[in-house]
Amino acid sequence: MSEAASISGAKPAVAAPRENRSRNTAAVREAVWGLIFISPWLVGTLVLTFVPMVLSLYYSFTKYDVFSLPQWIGLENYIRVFTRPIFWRALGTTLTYTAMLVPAAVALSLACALLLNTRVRFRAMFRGIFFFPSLVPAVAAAYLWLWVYNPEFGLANSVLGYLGIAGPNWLGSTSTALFSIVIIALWGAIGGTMMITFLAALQSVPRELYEAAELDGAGSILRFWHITVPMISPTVFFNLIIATIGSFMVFDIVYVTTGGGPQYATYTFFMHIYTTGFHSFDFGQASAMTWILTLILFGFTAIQFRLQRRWVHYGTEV
Amino acid sequence: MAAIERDERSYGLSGKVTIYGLLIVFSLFFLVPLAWALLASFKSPAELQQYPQPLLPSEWRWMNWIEVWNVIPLARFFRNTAVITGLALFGQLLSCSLVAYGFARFRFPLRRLLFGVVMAILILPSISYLIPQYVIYTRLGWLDTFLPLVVPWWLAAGPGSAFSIFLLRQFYSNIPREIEEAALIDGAGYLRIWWSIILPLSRPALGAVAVLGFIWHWTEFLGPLIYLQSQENFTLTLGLRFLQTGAADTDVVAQSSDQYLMVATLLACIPPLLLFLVAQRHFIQAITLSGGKG
Repeated sequence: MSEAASISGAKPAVAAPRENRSRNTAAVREAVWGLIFISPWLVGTLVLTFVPMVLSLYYSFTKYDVFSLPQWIGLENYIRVFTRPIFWRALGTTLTYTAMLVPAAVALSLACALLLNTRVRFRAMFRGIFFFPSLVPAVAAAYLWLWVYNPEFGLANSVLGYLGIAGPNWLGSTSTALFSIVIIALWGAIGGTMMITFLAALQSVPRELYEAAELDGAGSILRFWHITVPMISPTVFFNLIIATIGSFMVFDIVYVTTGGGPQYATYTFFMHIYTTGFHSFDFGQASAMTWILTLILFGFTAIQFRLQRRWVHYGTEV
Repeated sequence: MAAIERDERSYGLSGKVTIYGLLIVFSLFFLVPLAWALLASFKSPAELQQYPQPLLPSEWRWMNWIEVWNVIPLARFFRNTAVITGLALFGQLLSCSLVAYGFARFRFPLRRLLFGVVMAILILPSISYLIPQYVIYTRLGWLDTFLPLVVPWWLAAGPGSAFSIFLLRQFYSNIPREIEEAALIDGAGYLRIWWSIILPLSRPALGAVAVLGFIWHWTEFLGPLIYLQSQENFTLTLGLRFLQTGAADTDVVAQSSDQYLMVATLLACIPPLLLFLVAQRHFIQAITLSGGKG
């Protein structure tokens, strides 16, 4: 972000007073035009992001159902949210889901990028195949997998049946439902933007580093840990942040496949907000929950930013 | 590009077997659900209820792919999705390009701070403003219209727009300034410079934003679910759910609709897939332009 970037290119030269004045008007003109150019965003962000955020904070202290006016009830929404066991259950489910999904997604995505970064035949074809699930609407992916998971006629249990194993009721049993949803999410996440950013990062690692290490007799595992990992660590960090936020907001797949069941086994935080807001029309309590979720995510991101100092390697950019 | 690619030969036989083996395992994981659905889309309802489930249909029912258009108003859903995607995408390209140009080339008070806000919106969970937005749109009488799904993009609001602005700004910062200076001396206004010089020059970046935007709009589910109520306004993603929950009260559906659900699901995937095949370059560019460096 270079500050010297401006069209009229005002140079900090010594100028005659008269010229100075015209330069001032030029600067004002430039500022006005700049604001005109960004005005759609200014209006949109103010009206559709900031005002709503303030409103939602206000709603969280009121009893509100859209149809009548909000009534101030102080902290009651927050007390009700925290004292209902279902809130803690949903929070726990979301954390479990995130703990299962995010590390696996990042690791497998990196693995795919490493595979595609070798000089193999049909590389473009493999890259296309890997990328394709990320183009499928999450709802459509959910339906494809519903049919794979079907306990009687689905592919998963048909294959297990041939092997003489009685397959589980994937999405229908409390013990396997959340895990089954993680698989659907992985299917859509591994080969998408995450993998492409890893590929780009891998290709920007300078070749000399590998050559030097090879001369020193470092094997491929050593080279991976001491060169590849540090060099791509900013990308790993970036993807961890984005994947964590996305995982906390999981909705489409859950809503379509299980609706939060069976017996709340897949009832995530976002499902809880959706149900409270758009089924029970308790907008006050739903707003309180959105703020709690926002703060939790904010905390998570802050922790990740603090921890990155220990392992993310910046600099040595070539 | 081919900076650190290693020659296949240098891996040795076991290494080669591992690499190709893993590539095939991953490919199977990604393709098999699709193939399984494709086979189901040609089966008869009776066959879909058979145990054990046969791999191939005993008789290929091509009619499933035609009948589905009458079982639910699929053409209508396609049209609605296309209209929303088109309008939202057009607004997104126009507004994000304007805003990105403003951030890239002009100096104005608080510019750094405001651009910081753009970046913050990128990671701000959209849930934090979802409910009041719903209230605002309800008050405006926009429920059950396409407006809540389109207008925010014309105002460059939300994380998707923030990403587009970021990407386009990166690109504009690299366009040499001399081109615009010459036009300024010739007396062209800034808007005209943007329209007749910058936009044509930024075709690759706009293409990258456009392909990403298309996928976002086409696959959107939560927005339509909240804002669209009557069946005639449904998008494809809502239509799939409509077909699954049996809300379509035709006799055909009442029997069994799994084969139609599979057909409709696959049909919904075709436009993004076609776009990818045609514009693969733009996809890769979009993602690498955004800087894999974080």
